[in-house]
Amino acid sequence: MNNHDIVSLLIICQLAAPAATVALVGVPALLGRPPSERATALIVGGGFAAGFIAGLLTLAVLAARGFVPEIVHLGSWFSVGHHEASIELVADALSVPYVCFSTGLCGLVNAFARKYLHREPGFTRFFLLLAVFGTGMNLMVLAGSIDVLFAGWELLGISSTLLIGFFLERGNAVRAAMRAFATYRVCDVGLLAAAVMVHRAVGSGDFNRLFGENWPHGTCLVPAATATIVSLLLVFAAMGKSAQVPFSGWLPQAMEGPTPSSAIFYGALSIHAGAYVLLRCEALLEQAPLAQWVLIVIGLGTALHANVVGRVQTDLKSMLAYASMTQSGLIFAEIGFGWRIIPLVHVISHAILRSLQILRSPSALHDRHELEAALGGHPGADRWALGRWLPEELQARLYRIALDRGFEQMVVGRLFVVPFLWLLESAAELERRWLALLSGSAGPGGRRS
Amino acid sequence: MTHINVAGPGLSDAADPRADAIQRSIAYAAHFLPAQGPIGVFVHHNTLHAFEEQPFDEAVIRASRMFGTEPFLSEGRYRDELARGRIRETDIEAVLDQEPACRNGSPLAGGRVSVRRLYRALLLHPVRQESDAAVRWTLTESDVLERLRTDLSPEIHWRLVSDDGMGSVTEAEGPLADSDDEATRQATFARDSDAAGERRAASELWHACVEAVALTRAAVVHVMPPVRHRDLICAVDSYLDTDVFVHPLLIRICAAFLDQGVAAWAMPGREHGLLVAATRVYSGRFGPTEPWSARLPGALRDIRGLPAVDVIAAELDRLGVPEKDWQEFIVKSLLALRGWAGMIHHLEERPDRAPVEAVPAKLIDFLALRLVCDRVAAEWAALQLGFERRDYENGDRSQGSNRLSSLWTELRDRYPAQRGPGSLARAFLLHQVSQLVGITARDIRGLDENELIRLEEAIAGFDDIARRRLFHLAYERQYRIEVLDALAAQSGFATPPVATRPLAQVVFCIDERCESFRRHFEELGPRYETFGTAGFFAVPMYYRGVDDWHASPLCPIVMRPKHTVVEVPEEAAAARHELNRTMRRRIGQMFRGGLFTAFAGAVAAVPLVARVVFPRLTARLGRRAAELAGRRIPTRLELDHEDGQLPDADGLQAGFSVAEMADMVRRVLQDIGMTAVFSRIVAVIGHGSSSLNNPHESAYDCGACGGGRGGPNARAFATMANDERVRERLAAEGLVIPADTRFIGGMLDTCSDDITWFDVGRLPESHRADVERLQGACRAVCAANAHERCRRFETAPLDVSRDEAHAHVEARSVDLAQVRPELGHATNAMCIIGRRWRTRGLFLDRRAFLVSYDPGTDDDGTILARTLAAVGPVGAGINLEYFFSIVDRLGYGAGTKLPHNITGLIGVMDGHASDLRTGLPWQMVEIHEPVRLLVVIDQTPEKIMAAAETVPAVKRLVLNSWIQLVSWHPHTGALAVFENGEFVPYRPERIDIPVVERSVSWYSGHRDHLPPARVLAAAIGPGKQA
Repeated sequence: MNNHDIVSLLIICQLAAPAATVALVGVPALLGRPPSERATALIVGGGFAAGFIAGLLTLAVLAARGFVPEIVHLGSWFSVGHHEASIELVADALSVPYVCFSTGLCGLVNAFARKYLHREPGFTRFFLLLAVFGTGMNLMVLAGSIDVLFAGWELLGISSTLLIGFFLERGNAVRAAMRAFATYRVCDVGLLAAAVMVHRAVGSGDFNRLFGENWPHGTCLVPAATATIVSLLLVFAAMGKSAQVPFSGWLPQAMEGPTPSSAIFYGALSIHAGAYVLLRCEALLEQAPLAQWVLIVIGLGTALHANVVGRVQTDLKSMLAYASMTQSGLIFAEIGFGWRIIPLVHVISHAILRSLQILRSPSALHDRHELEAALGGHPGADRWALGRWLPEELQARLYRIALDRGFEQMVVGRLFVVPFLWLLESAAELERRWLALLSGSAGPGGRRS
Repeated sequence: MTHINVAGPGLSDAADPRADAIQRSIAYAAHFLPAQGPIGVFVHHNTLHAFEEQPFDEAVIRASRMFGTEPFLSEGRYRDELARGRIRETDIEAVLDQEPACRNGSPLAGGRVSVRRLYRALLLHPVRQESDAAVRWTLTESDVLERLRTDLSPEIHWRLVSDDGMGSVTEAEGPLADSDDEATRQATFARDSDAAGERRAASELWHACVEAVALTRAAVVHVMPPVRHRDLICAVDSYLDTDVFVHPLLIRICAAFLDQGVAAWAMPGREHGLLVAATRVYSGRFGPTEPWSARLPGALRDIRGLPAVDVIAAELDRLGVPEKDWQEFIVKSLLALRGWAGMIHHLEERPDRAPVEAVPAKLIDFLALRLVCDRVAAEWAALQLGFERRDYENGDRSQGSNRLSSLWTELRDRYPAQRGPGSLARAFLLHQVSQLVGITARDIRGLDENELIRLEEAIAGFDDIARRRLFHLAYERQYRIEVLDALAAQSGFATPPVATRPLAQVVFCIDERCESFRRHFEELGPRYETFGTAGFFAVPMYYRGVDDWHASPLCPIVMRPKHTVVEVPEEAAAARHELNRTMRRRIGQMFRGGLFTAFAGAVAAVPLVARVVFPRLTARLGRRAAELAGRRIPTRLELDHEDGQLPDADGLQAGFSVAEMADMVRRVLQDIGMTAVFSRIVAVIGHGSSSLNNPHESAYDCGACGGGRGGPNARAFATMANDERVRERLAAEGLVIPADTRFIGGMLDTCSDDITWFDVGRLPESHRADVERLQGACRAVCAANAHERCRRFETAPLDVSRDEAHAHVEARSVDLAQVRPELGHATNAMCIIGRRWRTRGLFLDRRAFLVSYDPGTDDDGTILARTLAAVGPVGAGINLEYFFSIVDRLGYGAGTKLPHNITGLIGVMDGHASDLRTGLPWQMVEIHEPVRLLVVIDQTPEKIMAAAETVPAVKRLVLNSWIQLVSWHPHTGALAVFENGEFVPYRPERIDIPVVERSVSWYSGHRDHLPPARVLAAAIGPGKQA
């Protein structure tokens, strides 16, 4: 077994360890004999620990070799002539540190949730979904081709949705989960379309055919027009997962699940998945100034929106959700500026701090007393000066914008949901008439409901 | 409580009768709103306080109808308890004996079945009550018509099988006599396989039941149609739930209005009240709306400047609600979002309870806003339901009011009056019940129409609520018997302490969590004595600690303190304290910066990992660091009132005068009967609970301190009792405290089982050894107590050692991930008011509030009266809050803690936008057994009644059975239970009691509740050397 094989094994281990725990917990649970709480947490935690250690070892090997990327070819999905969809993992200066960070955080949340969810009816389900999430995350991060990335991306989406709706018996939770799911699905179209574009352009989904593989020094290997289209599609895809305006409304609503899942999804990992994909394809973006501008505008717009809206939020989790959104907007803008290391550091910093904040959000009263004692008084409710300087009429107006969360729900409803439903209904109606015509039955087909 | 301030802006003149009616309805409705205040100070109270004027079992049923909640545990839960012996058949028999219907009801089914027998059968055997469709499925898919029930007694089984079903031929008494030939019958029975006879009997009975049901008509239950438009619309189209549209908006507005400092930008104009502020923000023409709220800005513009009561009157008209239904409409409208409405009402009544700044909250504003939103949403929903077209035809399109009132009347007319069960369901029920009570097909065919109706009515009348009520009484009875038998047995053993001077005396709070602590302390030896008194130690005060920013009250919620006590650093440490404060302020300001988040955030990995993975170690390191940095400084309480110092603006006096101090000290010593024998060292120990990530932290603190921590009270009391001036005054009144007796204050952390001692350095050198011995003893007791507590935690192994147990509970109190830092008052079930020696050595499993009271020093009953006044409502409040939070964990309790989200620093929501969750979370109550507090008083029935008479709050609880009251005669030891207005002598069921050497040998290896036992190590008595 040579050096290359060992590294490949380590890379596969990063992915296989959490994936194996899905099976280890999921299969007995499906058979109606879920493992005990202790066993469940140990299995899932063990998977993350194994993944984490494998990540660290890979990192050490990579560092010793000066971060020359290591590609693992797992097989081929299909190939037609020159066209091939291969299943590839890549370990480089971006993916391996990111895997260490995300697996470590998952492991930490696992340790936290083990006590936090003790005796909860959905205990097994939570850990199963956490394992699915960890697998999806690592798949997405280690992806060496856009197809693999898409698969990981979808696992993130579905586990995230199911954890928002963790409390199945509560209407609000299920509604919020549906909302997030719908947003994800709409934006996933971007990633899917991007994948098709990439295949069309280079005859494969492999990233190394798109841009050089040496992150962060990759260079774009496709024409500018293709790069622009693919970049814009990727930006669209990233906007949903990373809650950028106008697809941001689901994020505060997503705080319906148990606190540890909120921390990992909406404070730390899921919210930065979009940023990760953009970082991965940074070389493409460089060839697409238009996409970069779009990123900057969206990022700064989101940051501004979230900052203003966050100021009027009165519950801890919404406040933290908007704080996350602000930072993720800034990270988008940083990527738009063409930076590579700064956004990566920003992502990791922000994710760690925010998970700690969300995990300890039920301590708000405690912290408040500490703060009061430290400051020798109340921190003051009217901390935002701008709100008071504005004339009264404008104040009320701006306040309403903020309290209604930038009218995001209404705008998305009118601009997207209503036309989309209309489109679907019209299509259905058309089909009904068409069928009626073909089958020769008289009269108008169907009735609009 | 429910007085509405009629004066002031926002209200039109009170002469208007319509306005009057609205005000009255709001005041009435406010009764029923949750009374819980901001969550930072959690005060336990009876969840159904508004119903206390009614007898308990009627009240819970009535309340369950009003709130849509459960009155008792589920029937399945009771059946489980029956199966595992927590409810015994004897308990059910005893409860049935007490039931009027069983005693007086005439027999059913032609005299064959008594009501009691019917009830008994239905309690002991589950019957399925199903819809017609479900019955049809059961009939086709299972063998109910082929087989008799398997849970029948052999006699009944045989009686049913031996009935030949052709009952119309002969009419006779017994199952045997009607047979023409006994021998033939026996032979037939033996020849036919058992199954064939059974099949014939079951199917014959079924046919008889079907025929019987066809003879009579089911009783139709009439249900009043709901009054709210939302409910009416929902009944037609469940997708048009207007509350789902309106509530997120209302929650946003209320949360913004009440916010105590989460948001950086406070709601503009909120100083003018909710209605004005909301109108100002939402009436603008600017900005898109959701489909339903398109007309909301216009509606709000229309009401600008109007008083709230006029807005309500106008909206009620527009909604088309007739005046006679106003009250119900207003009650239901307020209850629909009762957490928020209750909080607004609470802050209207008690603005001083707002944690940061009082806002001009008014329930009437909330109602006005709610009705405007409701009306706009109802109009929109009416359009969706197609009510528009008809209004066009009527030609008054402009008048939305007509649309809504026609909607209201029409939907109410259309509302289905609930029907009774279908005939198949009735026959099926009758079939099952007949088997249980042994009514044969022939019997049924022999009944006339009236008797059939009576039988069916009796079965239907004993519905699941009636059954659960009796189950509950049996469930309570079992515990009562267990405890009273133990007390009766104890009467034979207990002897008063020999009058040697104790080594140490410790005064605790009455809290049931202190029971185990006291027991373990007493296991140290007969010369260790304990006492219990309400944990504010009769020192009601506003207290400001050295690091606190403002003073908070430390006394029962019913009292308002008149004094302030401040903790100040010792002179020598004053400079150090100033330095600390400046440093903390600097650090505090630094960490609030926004830039910090962006790039230095990775530093947070250290606390994140440390806190999640090594909680106990992290907390210890933090404490050590604070000590090294000199953060802990010596302090003292400023207790003395300077003569001539005037009260402050709120009428509060700084410190106490010597006379006041003497009064407080005397009162406690008299209450607990510590008037003659004093040890050299007397500890006074308050309690509190520290935990992390726990919005309900205050609910674990001392109830007698109004959800605060009792340490300062204990410290103040000890300081006062040591004061020479106080002692002189007491001595003059005849209460002599020996000169060599010293008091020392302390606080027990009920979560981590640690005691913090106060002012140890102030004790004279002569007492150093006594204190050290006491502290050493307490350390051992803390570990023993932690060990006993750990048996309840599934995550602590059952074979844990004492030290491991102590470490385990300590880790719980500092763990961010721990949702059960401790179990609070869960398991509280009884309260014993009396001399400790009578119960000493009894293992009560941390379920008993123990109040020290000496009937010998209380001839006129005044001490009992004031003890009851202090203890009764607090104990019953705690008990009933736990009771209802477990009985309906979503309707009365706060549900699971996991999705809780702190809002505005005043309460928690589920997720991002829900009603405020009041009551206790599931993790606090899950092991609780809901039983009404069993109060046992070491006093004669006459004196107890006389004392209760003088305290209306207690009298109400007693007479309406919200607590169970027992007299334990101080001389004879006879027990008498208060039932239906009088004390009934209690005769023990068993007189023996398990005896163990130490507590640990009784509880080790068990996780669930344990019956009382006699612990020899803790007892004083024969074989024990004093």
